Amino acid sequence: MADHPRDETDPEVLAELAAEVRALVERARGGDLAAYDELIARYSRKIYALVYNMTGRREDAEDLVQDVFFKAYRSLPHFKGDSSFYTWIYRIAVNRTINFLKKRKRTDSAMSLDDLDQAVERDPDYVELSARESPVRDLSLTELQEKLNKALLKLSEKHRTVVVLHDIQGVPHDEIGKMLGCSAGTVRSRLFYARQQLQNELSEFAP
Amino acid sequence: MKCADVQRTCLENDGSTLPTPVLEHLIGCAECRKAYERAQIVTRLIGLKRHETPAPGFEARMASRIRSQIEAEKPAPFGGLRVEWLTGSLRGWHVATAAAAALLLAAAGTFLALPQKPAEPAFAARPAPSAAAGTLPGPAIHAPLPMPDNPAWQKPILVFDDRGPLRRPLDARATDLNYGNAETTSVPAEFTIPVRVQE
Repeated sequence: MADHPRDETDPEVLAELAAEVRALVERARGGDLAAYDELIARYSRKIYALVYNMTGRREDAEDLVQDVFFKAYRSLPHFKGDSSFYTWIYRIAVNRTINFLKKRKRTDSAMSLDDLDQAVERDPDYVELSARESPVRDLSLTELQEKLNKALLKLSEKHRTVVVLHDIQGVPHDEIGKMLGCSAGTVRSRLFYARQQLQNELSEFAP
Repeated sequence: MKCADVQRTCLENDGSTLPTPVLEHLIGCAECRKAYERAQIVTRLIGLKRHETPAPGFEARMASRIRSQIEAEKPAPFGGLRVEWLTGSLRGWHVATAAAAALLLAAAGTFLALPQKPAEPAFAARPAPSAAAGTLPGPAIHAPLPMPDNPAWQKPILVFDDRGPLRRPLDARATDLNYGNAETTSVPAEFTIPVRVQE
C-alpha cells in the first residue's frame, strides 16, 4: 500500500485501486490469508461505520464486522466479480446487520458513543452550523452526537440504511441500489421519508 | 413546478444534483427555499457522524479476530469434510459416509495406540561383572536391546540402593528384560525411585 493517500477521485487511481483489490480477492480465494488481511485493513473501518450507525452500539458493531468478514471469506468462492468487492461486502454487511437488528428488537437503549475525531471541529459544515444562532453552538460535541444518534435510531432499518450510506458515507444512489438490491428511485424515495422524519426529530436545529 | 414536488426533490437529492427546473423554482419561491435550507441543515448535521472513529487498535484487533476465526474453522483432519455437514441438514449418505470414516479412523487409532510386545531379542550374553570391581550382584548384564517404538516402553526406571543404581526392568510386562545399560544417563529424574534393596 502507498505511504500517503492517493487521490481517489482520479480515474486512473481508481482503476489502479480496483485492479489491486481484484488481485487481493483472487489471492484470498486461493487461501492467502495475508491478502485477506489487506482487504480487512482497507474496508473494515467503512463497514464498521455502517454497522455502528445502524446498531448504535460499539460492541455489537465490532462483533458484526467480524461476522461480516468471516462470512465474506467463506463466501469468496461464490463471489463472481459481477459487482465490486466493496459493493458485495457492503451487501453482506447490510443484510447481516438488519437480521441482527430484527433479533435484537431494541434500538433506543444502551447506546454507546464512538469518539469524534478532532477533525470534526474543522469540518466546514460544523464550523458554519455552530457559528449560526442555533443549538449547535450551545451544545457540546458529545451532546450533539447523542441527539443525532437518537434521531437516527428512531428510523426504520431500511430508512436508516440509506441515510447512513448516503448522508454519512457518501455512497451514490445507484451504488446503494446495487447494495440493497433495489432501484436508485427506491433509494431516493427512502431517503425522502427518512430525511422528513429526521427533520421532525431534529427540528430544534432547523426550525 | 409545484412546491410539493420541489420540496420532495430537495429531500431526495443532494444540493449538487438538483435538476435545473427545481433550482429555478427555488430562486423564485421563498417557502421552498426555506424548506430546502432546513433539509440541508439536517443532512449536514447527520453527515458529521462521518468523523466518529472506532476504539483505538480497531483494525489490528479485527484482523486478528477474523484470522483466528478463519483458522479455527479449517477442517484439517478430514480434508473437504466441512463442519456444517455434520451439524446442518444433511443427506443420509453424507451422514453414513462420515460415520463410516469416523469408525474406521477410531478403529485404526485404537489399534495403533495399543502397546505392542517387542520381538524376543537375541541376547549377546556377556560375563557377569565382578563384585570386586564394585558392581552390583544380579542377573547377567545383557547387551542393550532394541527399543520398541512405543515411547511408554522406553522409560527406564532406575532403582537405587545404597551402593548405586540398580537397573530394573522398565515395566512389569517386561519382567526379565533390562532396557538400559550401565551408561544410561538420560533418565529423567521423575523415573528414578530411591529404595533400599534387601540383601
